[in-house]
Amino acid sequence: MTRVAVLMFPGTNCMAETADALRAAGAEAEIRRWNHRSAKMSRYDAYVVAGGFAYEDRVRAGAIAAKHAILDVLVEAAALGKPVLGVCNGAQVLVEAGLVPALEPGHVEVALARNRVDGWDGYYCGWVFLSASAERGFLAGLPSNLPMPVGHGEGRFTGEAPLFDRLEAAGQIPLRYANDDGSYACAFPANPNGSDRAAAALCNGAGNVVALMPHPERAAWLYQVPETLPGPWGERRRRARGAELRGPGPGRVLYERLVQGARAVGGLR
Amino acid sequence: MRLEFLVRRAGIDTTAETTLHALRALMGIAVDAVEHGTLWRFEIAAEPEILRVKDAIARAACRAGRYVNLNRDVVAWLDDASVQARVAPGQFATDLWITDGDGTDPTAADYFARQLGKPFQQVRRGTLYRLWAEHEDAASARAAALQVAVTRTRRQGLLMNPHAQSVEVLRVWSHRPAEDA
Repeated sequence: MTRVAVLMFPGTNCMAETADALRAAGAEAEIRRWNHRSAKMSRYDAYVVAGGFAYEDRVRAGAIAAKHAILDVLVEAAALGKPVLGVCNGAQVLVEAGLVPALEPGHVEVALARNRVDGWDGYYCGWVFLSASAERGFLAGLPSNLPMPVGHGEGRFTGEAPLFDRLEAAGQIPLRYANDDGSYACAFPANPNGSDRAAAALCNGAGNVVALMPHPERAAWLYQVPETLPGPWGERRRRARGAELRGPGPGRVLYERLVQGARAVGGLR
Repeated sequence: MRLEFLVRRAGIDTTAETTLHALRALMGIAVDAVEHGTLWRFEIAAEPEILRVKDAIARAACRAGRYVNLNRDVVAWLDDASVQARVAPGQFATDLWITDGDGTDPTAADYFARQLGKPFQQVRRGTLYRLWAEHEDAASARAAALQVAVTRTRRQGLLMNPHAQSVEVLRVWSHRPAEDA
């Protein structure tokens, strides 16, 4: 079975639900702390850095966790092509560690800055729709218009405009906030933070390391989808009764893709 | 006229403690101590009665619980020379001011404009880190502080991300009379 480590730091709070979602996606998921011995950590097939508030966001979201020795394991895994996913605060850790977008690996090339869009400033939680465009990596071929919850205060991918041009051209913006008609969302609340190029996720060049701001583990089961959500997933939720509510939600597919990606890499090695 | 107003924790500042731990234990940087707070920079029209203006700013800041929590915080002016008395021979205390973007805050600007009236021109806010460490001179203290501040790689820099934030060295305090490096 595919073994996935869910990495947590002091202040991480989404590790249990992330591990549950990974198990539902067919993985053997284990929660591992930041001080777990690195030698034992390298045996996993994939890694997820869970969301929350590592080190209580002191100094800056993700900044201190990114300095931990345990990140060496993720650097090694990234180089081996293993899937590495950072969700929300986990995304901030990967960005601050220079694992994403990694045009020059190890260099911090972008920031996840405070939400600032259309007069909105700071924390926002709600549901957004994601447009998928990954051509490689474990998110390749992901269906578009996936609804997903967000909950963050610092989720605005930003950096030098020429760098974002490069990322766009290289296909390193695998998921973007989308409007109802599928177009990229620039306005609040469809774009909840004002991200450059409406980026909801950035990845490295190979697509195996992904920094994702929305929370797929909070949409891994149908019962987690709000009945008021527009579109097919909302309709499915409104029609569901009893055991149907325990069926997969729109976020499950991301973890399924991560597990499939890990199997593919394991098969190749 | 520029006035810099510092808001710090009265008790243990966990952010300062965690920053010190990260610098020493995770990054191997020799730092004696770290202090931390929120620094407000006010631009005020030329005013002969500086003490009255300072008093008005402090009162306005303390009246708004969101800017100063009097049950938790202490306030000071950055030009207060009491820092210098704490600097040991060979040691330097470097004040870094880190802002998100340019540090403007329309809500705070609106509040202080209403509270202070005509003399108020602009306010910006950011995070102040005061790094205490031994150095050869003020110039090397300043250079080392900027190295610590600007995050360029996973192993270099901690206090600010240059893709969304700005950093300014406000002052380098030394055992001798203060030097503005």
